[in-house]
Amino acid sequence: MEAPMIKITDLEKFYRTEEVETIALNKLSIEVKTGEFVAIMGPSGCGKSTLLNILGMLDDPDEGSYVFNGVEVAHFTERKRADLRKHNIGFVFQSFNLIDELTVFENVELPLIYTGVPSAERVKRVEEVLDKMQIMHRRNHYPQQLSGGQQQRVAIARAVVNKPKLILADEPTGNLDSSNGNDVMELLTDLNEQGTTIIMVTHSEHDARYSHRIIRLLDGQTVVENIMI
Amino acid sequence: MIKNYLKSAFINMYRNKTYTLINILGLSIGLACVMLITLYIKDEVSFDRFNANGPSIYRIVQNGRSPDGSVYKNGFTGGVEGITFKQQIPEIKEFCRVNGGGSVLVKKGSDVISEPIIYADKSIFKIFSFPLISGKPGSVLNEPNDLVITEAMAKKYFGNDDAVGKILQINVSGKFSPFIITGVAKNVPQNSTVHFSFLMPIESSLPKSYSPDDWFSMFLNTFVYIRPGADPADVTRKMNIVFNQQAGKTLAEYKKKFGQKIAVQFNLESYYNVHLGEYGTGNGLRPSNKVDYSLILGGIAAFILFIACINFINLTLSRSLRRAKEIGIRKVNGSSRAQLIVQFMGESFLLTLIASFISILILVACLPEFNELANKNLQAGYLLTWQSAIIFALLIIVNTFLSGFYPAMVLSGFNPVQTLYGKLKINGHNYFGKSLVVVQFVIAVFLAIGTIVMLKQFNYLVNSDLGYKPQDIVDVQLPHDFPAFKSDLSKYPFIKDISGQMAPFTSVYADLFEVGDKKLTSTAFLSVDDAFLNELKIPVMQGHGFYNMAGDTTEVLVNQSFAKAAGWQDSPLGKRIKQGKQEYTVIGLVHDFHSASLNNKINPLVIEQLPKPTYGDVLVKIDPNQKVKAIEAIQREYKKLIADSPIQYNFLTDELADQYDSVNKWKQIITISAVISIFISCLGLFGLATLSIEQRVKEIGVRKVLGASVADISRVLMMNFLKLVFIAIVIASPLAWYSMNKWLEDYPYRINMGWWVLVSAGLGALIIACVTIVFQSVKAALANPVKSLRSE
Repeated sequence: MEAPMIKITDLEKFYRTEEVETIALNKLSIEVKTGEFVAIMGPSGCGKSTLLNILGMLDDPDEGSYVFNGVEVAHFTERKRADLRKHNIGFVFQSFNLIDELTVFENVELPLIYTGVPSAERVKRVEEVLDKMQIMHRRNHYPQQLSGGQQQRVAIARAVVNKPKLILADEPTGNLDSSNGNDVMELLTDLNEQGTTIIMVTHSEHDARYSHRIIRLLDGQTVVENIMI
Repeated sequence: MIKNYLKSAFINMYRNKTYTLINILGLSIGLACVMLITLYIKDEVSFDRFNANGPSIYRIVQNGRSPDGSVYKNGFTGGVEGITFKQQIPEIKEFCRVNGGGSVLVKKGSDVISEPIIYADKSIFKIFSFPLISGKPGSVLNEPNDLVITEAMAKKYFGNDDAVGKILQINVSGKFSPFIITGVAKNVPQNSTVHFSFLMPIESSLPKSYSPDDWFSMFLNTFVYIRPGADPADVTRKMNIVFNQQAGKTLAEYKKKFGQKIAVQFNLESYYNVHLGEYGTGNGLRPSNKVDYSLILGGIAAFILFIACINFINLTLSRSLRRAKEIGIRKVNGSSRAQLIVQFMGESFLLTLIASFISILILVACLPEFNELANKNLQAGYLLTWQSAIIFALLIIVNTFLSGFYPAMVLSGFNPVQTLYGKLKINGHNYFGKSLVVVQFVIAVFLAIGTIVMLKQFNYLVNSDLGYKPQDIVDVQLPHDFPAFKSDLSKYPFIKDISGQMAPFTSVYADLFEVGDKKLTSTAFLSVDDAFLNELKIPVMQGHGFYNMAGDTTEVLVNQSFAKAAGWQDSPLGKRIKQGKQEYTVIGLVHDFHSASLNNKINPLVIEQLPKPTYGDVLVKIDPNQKVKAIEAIQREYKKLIADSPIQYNFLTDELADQYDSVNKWKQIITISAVISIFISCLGLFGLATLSIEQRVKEIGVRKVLGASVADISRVLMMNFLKLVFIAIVIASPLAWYSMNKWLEDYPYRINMGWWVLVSAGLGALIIACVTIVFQSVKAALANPVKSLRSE
């Protein structure tokens, strides 16, 4: 049997202040196979975003194991995590998170710069992906000159320009109207069909239906998994 | 990647204009200060280094002990040391005596121009690197009427013609006589201790009464050129052996006469050390300087730059919340921490670079003013040397690190999850940033207190009661014909009084007087006419002043300090005092007055009267309401009597103020530094307050909704910062109190600092800080809370 791309076991994450300790993830165990499209749902504060950040190696767990592509990464140093992340993972956020000071082109180019892709190759790849996202005509615009839907396309373009194996999307349609939201979901579905693994946090049952599988969390634990048919 | 960083940096700078402006303004002023002081220090330490023989040139100096046992260091020697030491000590290859002569009058057509002159042995061209561009070292300064001038003087008097062989009419001692130019030297570098434009043979400067074996008259500088490889300590030892052989007998006699404590010890001072050395200069040498000045100025400049760097650090950190998102995105997209550090350091480099260009403009603009203050002749062109370029580059790099490193470390360390989800909280207390603000204001308040104290001390020195009335008195130097000048001038109604003196009483000579078997070593000696005391309103306390009985030069007046030093309990009238073989009778006691400046204590003083024709300095009291007429009359009468010398006159009050030139300049330097420090600190405070208020918009909204008034909110916002300024005042006050009291100790007559100095400096700082932030605070407090709360 093929080894899963992601395998987390008994993962725990706490948030501590001086007086209270909040458990964000409570001995959570999940597996995601290569090529899967998984939606994570649950009420506010159930640990969805925490999970996504740990999966994206933006944050590290307090306890438990996280194996990514056969490598245990739970206690990697920040530098190692950054290195693994930039070659393997793309992020899409609810609030787009584009750099206001850079143009559409430059925003999409950013991950390529950090992975050391040569300049000519960068131009080619950025244009390719902008074309695919149908946002080529906006390449020299700044984020605030674009609509929400367009900004999210740019964000997705940036997430995929490095051809990551995994895309982590945190409520990608949360700031969009339904029409733009549907477009974004179509884009993600296309990417998944082309082989990219997608894990998406969402509140929307509608969006979740695009996925293969829904993991429902409550208080940092899996309560139910729905396989979509 | 660099393009990407640059763009992000430029856009960030553009979008945050206030912040950028504050940083660039502060940094460019700070850098300009540091560059100015670097030029100053470079000039100081490069003094005389252009001399190829420099390491082998020494000045003969003395460490001695006065009759009263006090130790002194003296850079002067007489005419004999150079000659004798060269004859007796084989290591001394050559010697050169240098003496100053003030200025001489030089005829150019019908004009008479005053030029500074120095006298030297002709070996000056062998020992020092003063190349002759016309004439040969062997054929200059051989005859008493030989003259060497510099290129610039040759051009001034003879245009482009070769000046060698030409004649200049020069008035050295009362009458014009011809001098033959035997050489033209290259212009002397401005950082040369030996500096001349007119040079004459040393012999002309030796006093007529001077005997060539006199080891105890010291009035010129003797330089020796020691064979390379010879040990100067060896030469020193030999010099003292020769001295004791030749002058031991006389020294023993002096000891008998003045006391056994007298001692003379010759020493060698390396030529390179003369400018910043402890033996001082004078008599033909450019004024020396104190190392302390370089250190103090350097310290002030470094502090100012440090204050500007603190602004950068604090503003960058306060703005970091705004940039947090960018940092998060970059990290999520693969940037490593090192790359972010490089990016932020790059931004600080860019800002420093821009500031450094502006600092050059500031530097060039301020250079003339600075030269005036620092007694220098620094040129902006010095910046074009490679050493300056290296210093400048280093300064930019150091400044980049100083201001950029800490913020870069903090910003690059942000957790991307927190930044992207808006959960980032900068350490709520921000003790580091607050301490930096405190440090800024400690420096600013310290300098402000310094300014007030110096200002007060200066005013005290200038306005104190001197014991006489110097107002409306013109001091005229008169080479001859005092009686005629006095009688001619007396007929004008606006001339109130005229008196004569041998030399200006403000620069008197000290001499040795004997009262019984008591020796009064540093007694001042004045020679004045009968009108002097009356004109200056110096009260005679006992006995009487001089009557008009010119001729009896054995009757003198003394001051209270003399009577005290002499130990006279009863009336001094009729007492006998001795100066060498001359005996005097005291006929009056005058009230103590400050003949010298208030920088010195009042010394015992003896006043004598000489025959009228001997007076060369005239004090003319004029009607203050007819100043112009009076000055015109003085000039007219002077010209009638003295045709060959231009008139030199000053108001006595101006001459007195000149004596406080040094404290006046320091007062200005510290004032300027204080103003700059306070200005840059307030710029930072303004920026910080603006940013902090932006971050507290929601809090302000909530407070208002809950019923806080505008005044309440403004107070809350302002107190935050004023608290820091207050802490700074508490720290700076004792430091300043201590240092300024130390500074005042150098003045025998000084102000009492008083607690109000500290209080007023502190209050001033608080008020300035208040004004800086009040506008932003009130504006924030007035804003509609609905807006700020809705945007959440």
